[in-house]
Amino acid sequence: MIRLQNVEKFFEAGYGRTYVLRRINLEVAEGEFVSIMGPSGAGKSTLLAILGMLDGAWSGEYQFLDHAVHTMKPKQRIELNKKYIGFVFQSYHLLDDLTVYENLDLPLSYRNLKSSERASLVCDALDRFHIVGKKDLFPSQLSGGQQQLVAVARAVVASPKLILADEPTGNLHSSQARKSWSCSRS
Amino acid sequence: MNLEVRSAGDSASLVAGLRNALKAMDPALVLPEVLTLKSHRDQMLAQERLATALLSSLGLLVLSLAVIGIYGVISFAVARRTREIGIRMALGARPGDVLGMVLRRGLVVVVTGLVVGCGIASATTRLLAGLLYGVSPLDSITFAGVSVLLAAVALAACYVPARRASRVDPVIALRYE
Repeated sequence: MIRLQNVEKFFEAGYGRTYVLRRINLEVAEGEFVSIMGPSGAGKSTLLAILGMLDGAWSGEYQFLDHAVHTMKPKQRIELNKKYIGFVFQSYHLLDDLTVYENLDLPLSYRNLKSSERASLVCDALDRFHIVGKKDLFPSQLSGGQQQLVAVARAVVASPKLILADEPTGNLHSSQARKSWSCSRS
Repeated sequence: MNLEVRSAGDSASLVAGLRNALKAMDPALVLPEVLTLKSHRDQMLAQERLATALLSSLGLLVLSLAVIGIYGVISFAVARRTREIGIRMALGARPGDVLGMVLRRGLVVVVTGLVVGCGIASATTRLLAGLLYGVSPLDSITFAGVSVLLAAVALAACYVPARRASRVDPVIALRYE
């Protein structure tokens, strides 16, 4: 499903190049659950941004499903991201002025779906994550754990083929983390 | 004593003839000042014209301040939404979606502002009716012109930062707080 070959990312510094990622080779098959661990500053978030096609400034080869991502233009990458990828961000990144329901509807609103279809998918996610009662609340009215649960629900609401999560349980206690992940894998 | 003389010819060439006619009537009579009707009218209206020029300059100054203020406030509001724009783009929004969203929201604010502004203006310009000449307090061209100018400025203020934000790398925008 994912194949990276010699992926590199660097910044030009005055004295030379500073590599954030160097010679990354990685293969992930469909259905696999992979954790990337490393110290702070190792480049985990950068690698996820590249895998999620949010970052286009890198070199090397990236094959995703049947698509050669390294040959694609930014617009094509956005379309691929939209179609196949769900992202859970490190600090939730829920939109403060939207309700839980609206936050879940957000990724669907950028896909060509009928409003009834979107409503059905959002209701299904609310139900699966046991947050039906919170659907009209705003993120500021939720605890950190509940916000992360909504962020995970938003990542999976469109049934993506690939879910990328950047420290998704970093701010949760162990039982919340278990609940969050059991919901997202169900 | 004031004399008003009407002639069919050039008024400047009339002065010598007038002086001669007065002298013929009474040699003691003199003609100290001769004014054409136009210059007499100009003298009479000088104060009003000065006031008009001052008010017009003040109006232009206020309009410029409004234009600068609207641009500043709206572009600041859009720039504050950089993080939101980054999130939307990371969730699948295309630059066109972001641009459309920002312009739509800007348009709502602009139209609301113009409706309220025109309402207040139409209620208060009646107070200036005594100072107006050749233009009604509810002059449609003035109202339309100012509305179009302010709407254009407000939309430009939305468009420029929105376009910049929609081109931002989502990874950078997501780090923006």
